[in-house]
Amino acid sequence: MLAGPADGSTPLSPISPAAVPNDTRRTGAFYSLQRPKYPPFPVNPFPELPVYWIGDNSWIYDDRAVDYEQLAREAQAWAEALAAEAALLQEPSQQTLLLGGPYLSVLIAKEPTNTFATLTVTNCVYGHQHLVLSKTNLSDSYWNSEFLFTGPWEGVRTFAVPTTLPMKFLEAVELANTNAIVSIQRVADAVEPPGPGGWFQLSRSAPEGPLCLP
Amino acid sequence: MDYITLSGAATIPEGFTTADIEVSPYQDALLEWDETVALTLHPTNSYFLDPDHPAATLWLFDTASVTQQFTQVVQCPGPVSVEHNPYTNSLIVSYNFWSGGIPRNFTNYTVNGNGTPWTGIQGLGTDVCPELHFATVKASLSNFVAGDMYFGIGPITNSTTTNAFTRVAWVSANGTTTNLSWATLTDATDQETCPVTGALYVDQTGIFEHDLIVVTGNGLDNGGHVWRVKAQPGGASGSKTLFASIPGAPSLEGVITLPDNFQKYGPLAGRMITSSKWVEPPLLYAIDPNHDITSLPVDIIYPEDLDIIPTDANGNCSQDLYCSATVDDCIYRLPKEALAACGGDILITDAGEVVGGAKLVVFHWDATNVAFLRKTIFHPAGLGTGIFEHVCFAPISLQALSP
Repeated sequence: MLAGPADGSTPLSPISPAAVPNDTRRTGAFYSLQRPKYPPFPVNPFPELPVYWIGDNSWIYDDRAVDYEQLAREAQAWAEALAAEAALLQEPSQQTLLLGGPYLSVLIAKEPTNTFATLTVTNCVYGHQHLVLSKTNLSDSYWNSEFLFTGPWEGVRTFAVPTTLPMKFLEAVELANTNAIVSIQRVADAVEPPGPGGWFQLSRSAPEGPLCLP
Repeated sequence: MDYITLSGAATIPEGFTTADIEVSPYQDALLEWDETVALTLHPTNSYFLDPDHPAATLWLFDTASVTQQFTQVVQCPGPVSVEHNPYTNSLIVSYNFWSGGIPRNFTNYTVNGNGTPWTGIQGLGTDVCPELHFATVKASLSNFVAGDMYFGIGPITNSTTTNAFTRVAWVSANGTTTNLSWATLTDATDQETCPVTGALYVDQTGIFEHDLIVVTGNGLDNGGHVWRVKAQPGGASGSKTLFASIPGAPSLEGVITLPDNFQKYGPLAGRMITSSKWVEPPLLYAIDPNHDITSLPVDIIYPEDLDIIPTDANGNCSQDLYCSATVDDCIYRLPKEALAACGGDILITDAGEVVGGAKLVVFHWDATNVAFLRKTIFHPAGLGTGIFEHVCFAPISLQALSP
């Protein structure tokens, strides 16, 4: 998080960089210009910021514009979100529903256009049904369905997902035969009397016990 | 709410894979726009949602949508297109679809319902005119003459002449002079090889310089071109320009141009509108003067024809509507009163060819809620039946045929 002078921080004063080749800046002792008494990092924690050689294999990075308090708040929020997800998956019903099959990994890579990202699901089981699920908030009780697909023989399936808001958390699962996939479709429109009524049809993939839908 | 309240839960019984949810409308005396009933499944720990079908919406129509007073005013074999000729003040009908335009392709119906041959054109069958749609010029503009008519013809396969490309034919307002090669759809870089199954239209707005608009399609899986054709003084064709190419080259049906009135037409204002029933889902395409194309999903299964409803000073429809019913071998008339308060709105004709049945759907822009309202009128054969091909408004009222 870069803070500008408008937020009350001390205006930056110019310093002169020492001329060193960029490829020497990968490892060494990296000292903070804002926090000079802190121990050095073994790698540069802010490779996007200017860095200066101060002798031997030691460097100093210009982090005077870094808002460490804001970074700390973001790290705390991220940790809490991960903890919430872990806690949710420990609930028996969700655990049964979501983790019934082998572990699947989900990898997201952004495309050059920045409007779509590539979602890659690996470790799929050939011929089995899989589902990519999403939440916009990890504290939500349930997952929404994004993609339903049959595992390809190569075990990897990719999808294009828009990178527009809202942000989503994604999960992929292999479905068991007992997992019901439920859908609803329009069958007939309605006309006011004396015309015919209309109706929808609910369908499910697994015909076991009665299934109540709220 | 115009239907019996649905309970908050539905159950698929043990051993079954489906369950029906009925929607039972109330009767009311109000004339309303079409309404919707939407159901959305909520996720729980008991099941997963099908990502392709987590919600559904059905339409709830007024009783009037199935009780409109259509009357048969013309009986003729295999009518395809019907247009009003302002010069003769009569209806021109392209017909004999089933016999390939034999013994003739056009007939003329005056107010008294008498049909007489129109032009000597005959034998234009599905090989060169898959569906013989034509446009008449409503008012003389930019060298186009009121009453003149235009239709697509060709291309002729394996021809070594310019007939290998799609042409536009011309018929004079009085029907005595014809030219089957009035214009060949080619320009410096493009040569049209798709027929004109869908529509032609003379721009009334001026936004497209009162050009003749021609959209192409083979009535199945190829087309997507939008041409603009000018007329020269004296009536000869002027420049031909490929104005837009719809991505995916869908076969196009129907075309109109809308005035630049956002209050009336919302996002479609000032644009050329065409459609395709050959894509999933069916789409409207709005093309602006800068060639930019926007596609809009439209919950109409077979968009076949597009019209602007003529209006009187009170915003009511000012002319009767005539509907070509190819399978019924007739033309139906719908009185203008059926489209009260719809003056200036967009009318989309749903052909209803395979499922759903034919219907007329009014699209009315609701500027307050920033959405299109709809009013549906079903084919006289009833809900879910019948086929319409092409429709037109006319300032004449043909008498109903005797039963």
